Amino acid sequence: MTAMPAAVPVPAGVRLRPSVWLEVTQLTGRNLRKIMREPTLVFFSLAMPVIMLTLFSQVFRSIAQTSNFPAGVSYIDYLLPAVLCTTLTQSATTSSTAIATDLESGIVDRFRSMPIHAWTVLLARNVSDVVRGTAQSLIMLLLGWAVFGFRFHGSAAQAVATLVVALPLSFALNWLFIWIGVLVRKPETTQIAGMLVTFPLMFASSAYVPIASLPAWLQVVAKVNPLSYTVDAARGFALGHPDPGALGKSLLIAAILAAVSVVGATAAYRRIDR
Amino acid sequence: MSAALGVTEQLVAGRGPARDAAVRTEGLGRSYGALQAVAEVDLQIDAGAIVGLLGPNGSGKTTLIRMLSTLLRPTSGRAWVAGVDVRANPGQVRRSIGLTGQYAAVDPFLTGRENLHMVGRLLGMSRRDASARASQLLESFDLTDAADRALSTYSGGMQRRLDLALSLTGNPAIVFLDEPTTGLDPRSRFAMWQVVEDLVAGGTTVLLSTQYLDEADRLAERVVILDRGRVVAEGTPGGLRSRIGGDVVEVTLRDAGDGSTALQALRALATSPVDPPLAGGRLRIPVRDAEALPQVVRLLDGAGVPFTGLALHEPTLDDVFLALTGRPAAPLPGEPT
Repeated sequence: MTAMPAAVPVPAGVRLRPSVWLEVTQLTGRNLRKIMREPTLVFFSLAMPVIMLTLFSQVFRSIAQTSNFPAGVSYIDYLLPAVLCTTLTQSATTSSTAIATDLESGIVDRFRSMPIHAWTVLLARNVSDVVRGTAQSLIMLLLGWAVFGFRFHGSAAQAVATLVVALPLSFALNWLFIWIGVLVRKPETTQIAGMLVTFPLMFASSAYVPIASLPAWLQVVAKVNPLSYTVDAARGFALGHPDPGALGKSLLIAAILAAVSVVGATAAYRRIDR
Repeated sequence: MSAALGVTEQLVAGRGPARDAAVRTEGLGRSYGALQAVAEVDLQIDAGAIVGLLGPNGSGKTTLIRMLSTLLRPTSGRAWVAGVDVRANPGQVRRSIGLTGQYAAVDPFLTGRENLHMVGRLLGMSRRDASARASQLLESFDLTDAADRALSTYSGGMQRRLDLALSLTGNPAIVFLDEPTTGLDPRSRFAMWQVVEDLVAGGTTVLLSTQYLDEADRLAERVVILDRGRVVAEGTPGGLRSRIGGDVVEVTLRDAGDGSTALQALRALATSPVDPPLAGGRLRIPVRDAEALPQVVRLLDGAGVPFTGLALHEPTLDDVFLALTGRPAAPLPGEPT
């Protein structure tokens, strides 16, 4: 190693124009790069929904013949919009693991000692995870279409709406899991916490079977489960008869969950110094 | 306890009218439940000064630095960095500081160049300026060859250099270095010293924590010694050295059983309390200077104590600690830390 020259000052003419936009885009870019550089993470986060789609579409096929099932609809057409929603839900859990990993690695110490906003660090986490979840959804959709014969029943606009309708809930759940991640700060623990929240959400819902076919007590749970409304709204668009009631409730629940979680996560992040 | 620190008179004179202190604390403290990690620290570091924070593990160095760099909230007292209250306005403080911690605060998923580019952009540099600044820092920290490699291929010394380069990207006026050379090989350690010296020559204020007396001696104008979260001494390295005598004579006795006889004979020479004999019949006696050596030989001969080794050492942190606190720097077995 050569002798280290002087610690150089910033050259003249360099201007510092910090902005919230720069903070969010830089940090989002960094998060996405990190995701792409962990091929095993990419693989497993795709494998899970693919396995779900494959198993459920085969195991529960016969449900399409039951009396509670909408007539004239194949199970894959019924299932796929729900899988798009559950994929985004599961994907949200990785938000808490990712933020906990960053908190452990020391890079958050770097961010916190720099003149950048606390909330942009968290928003960037959220944006990158919603982007990743959406990419996963698109892959699911492609797979469902090519392999399992999924088809949209409605218009092109309704097809787009099927994809878009789950995004607000995905955004809200990401905030919730970021909050959990900042509170827990241990990547391993966040994974268990994530399963604990998502499994009841996914199964006690209208995602895989019609609510009417669930046991009575589970029907009560499924009816207060926000995911049920999002699934119903997405399914309505996919099958070509939109469900404005479910859509409204889905958006309202997402808005409330997001508002609470944004405040909670930001406050928790600011309290790391205590 | 007051530990008002200042740069030398000439330096202040050279800088014109007295400025605000770069760092000032009043009764600063941090407790974790019943554990008092830092207590009642009063510090003042003038702009452009370099101060060493010396203490063993667990003495509160990292806690103090984390409070000054806004990562940790004080539980008592106040602190101002660049004239700004760290508790009331941490965001403002962050505009003036750079922090390099004991564990590298680098992004392990990015390359060295990407780390530097991201930090430059986050500080508000244009794409071109951030690239130029990244290249410049990579060059000056001797990381150009590794610039586009994953951080997992970096050695500890390289990660630490990148960490420091990240801290310096925005030219902070005040730099906190928490044990910047702990765990580094001698060459990397020496290189790090040169960077620190260059920083100070460029007018940056530096607060550096270390466990090594020679490091504080070499770099710092003033040294603050922490013990169990409290300031136990402060002054110039030379001044502290003279407080414990100056040098340490180490005698290796042929027969470890002669320990107490030898201690008795040499006690008059010691400038501060003497440790009980170490394992292997070794005795460390703080003395004023090298002239004590022949006296040691005479006194041991007179007492009829045979010895197999005699050496003159620079005092270590342990010697300073023993002189100041009456106990070694490393916690004794069974003692709560």
